[in-house]
Amino acid sequence: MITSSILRRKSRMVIALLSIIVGATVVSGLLAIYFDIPRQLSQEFRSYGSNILFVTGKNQETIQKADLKKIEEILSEEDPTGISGFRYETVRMNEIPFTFSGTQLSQVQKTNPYWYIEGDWPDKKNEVLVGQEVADLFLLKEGTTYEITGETVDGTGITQKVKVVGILQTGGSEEEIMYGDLSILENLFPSTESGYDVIEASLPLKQAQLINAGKAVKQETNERVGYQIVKKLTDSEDSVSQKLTLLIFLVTLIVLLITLICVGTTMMSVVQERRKEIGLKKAMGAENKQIVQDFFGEGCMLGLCGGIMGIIFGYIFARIVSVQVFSRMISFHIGLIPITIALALFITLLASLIPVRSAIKVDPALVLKGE
Amino acid sequence: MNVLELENVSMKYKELFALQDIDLAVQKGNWISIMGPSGSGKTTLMNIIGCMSKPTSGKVVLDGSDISKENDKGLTLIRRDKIGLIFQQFHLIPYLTAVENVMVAQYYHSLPDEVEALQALERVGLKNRARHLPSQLSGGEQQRLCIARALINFPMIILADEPTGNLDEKMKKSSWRFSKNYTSRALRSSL
Repeated sequence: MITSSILRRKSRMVIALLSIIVGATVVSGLLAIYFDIPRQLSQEFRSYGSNILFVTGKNQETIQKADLKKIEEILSEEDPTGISGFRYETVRMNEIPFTFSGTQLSQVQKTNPYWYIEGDWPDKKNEVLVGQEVADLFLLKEGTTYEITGETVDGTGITQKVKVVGILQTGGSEEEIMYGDLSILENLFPSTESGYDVIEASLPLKQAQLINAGKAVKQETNERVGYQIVKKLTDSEDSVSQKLTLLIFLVTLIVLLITLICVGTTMMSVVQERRKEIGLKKAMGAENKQIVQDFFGEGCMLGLCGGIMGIIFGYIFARIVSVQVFSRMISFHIGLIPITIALALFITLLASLIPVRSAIKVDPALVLKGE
Repeated sequence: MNVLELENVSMKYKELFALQDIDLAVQKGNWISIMGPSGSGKTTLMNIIGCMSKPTSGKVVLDGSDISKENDKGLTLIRRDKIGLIFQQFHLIPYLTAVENVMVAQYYHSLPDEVEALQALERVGLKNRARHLPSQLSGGEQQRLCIARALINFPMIILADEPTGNLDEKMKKSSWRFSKNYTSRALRSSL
């Protein structure tokens, strides 16, 4: 009977169903974005560089390679974007000193995706990246091999040939440095203890989670390694994330309210239209609770259909928004299915409340007489 | 034994009496016509007997119990179990087929039974129109559908308010004949 009531009164029901579908679509889409915003923003902010630094702990001159391995192990659960260690030494070229950083450039590519390289990233152990200022100072060119000199404890210079494959432009202090594989520094400074001065990590975590990760590293390395949060970055990420989620939450609420009004108005007109039918049912002995069940049954079917369609359209809507705004795909949360259906049902039933109250007040004697 | 008894039943709207001190006794199997000019209170009386309105004063005894003292829920249950209604304007549900319209009455009474509903339609000569919507039926067919719906739950009293007002002479006679036959066969009362 409920199915017939919906299927054979298409025009009115299509309007009610459309209101629910539109509402459920927008709500489902916004919720998908709402749930995905922290991940999207985290990925977005990862392109601005590392958000936690690991530095030498108490009485330590460098961070040992074994500790880097340990850090990698500890952070592996957090799905790190990249972890790169840096050792800084002063080297010379034509007797002019400048800073050389030994690192793992494959990881640096991940931790610092914002680096602009004119040329290529180094591929081999003797290939280096040169900061723009260093390149200007020494008139270095891509594809050319140069000699740089390190220094041992007794002052004997050790020289190594390095090939410049790329010029680094960041607009920051990185342009004053030459970057190459850590093994270059180990060759140039054989008597110096090998290790890192700082380890940069880029993790898809919020500030509080980063602090926990830092504490875990500190504890696991017996305080040989300390940590610093890159607050400039994490504060901005948290602030933007909070504002965006609040904005989406408010928009979702407004959409829910509008849907409530639309569905409520349609249901009210449905009741007005069916006053005679309600009167007839009451005349045939329908109790108030049966009238309520009939309307809520229709409401449930509409809410269920609207909710299911809203999930599909909502995901498409969220994908379009995500691609337009964040330029990447949105992930689908399975939890959105019950949430959207429950919200669609709740809104439909809530919107039916006033019309149903009006329906049970129908006096069969009056409406069947035609008054 | 009286199935229905009315004692000094009055219905007053503000200062105006729609009914005043009505007495009536109906026995099982009686077939009664109430006639009167427009505004004489026929429909008001039908509404009181049909448990859709309560009298301002007086006593209405249906099947041994005083229905004038019942609350709304009690009246609904009596209406469901003991009354069959036939209306001048048919009041069929437009989006339900003929058989579904009959099944609505079953649904609110007990359980819908399509076979039984089809048998009821067969009795009024509408079996081949069972899957048609009311808009696809003629006036006479709609009235017979109304009769099938009113009789499906075997009511104690059938109340028909100007049941043939919308029918031509031929259909009027056919409807009267059918109602009368049912009343005498099933020992029910018709007003």
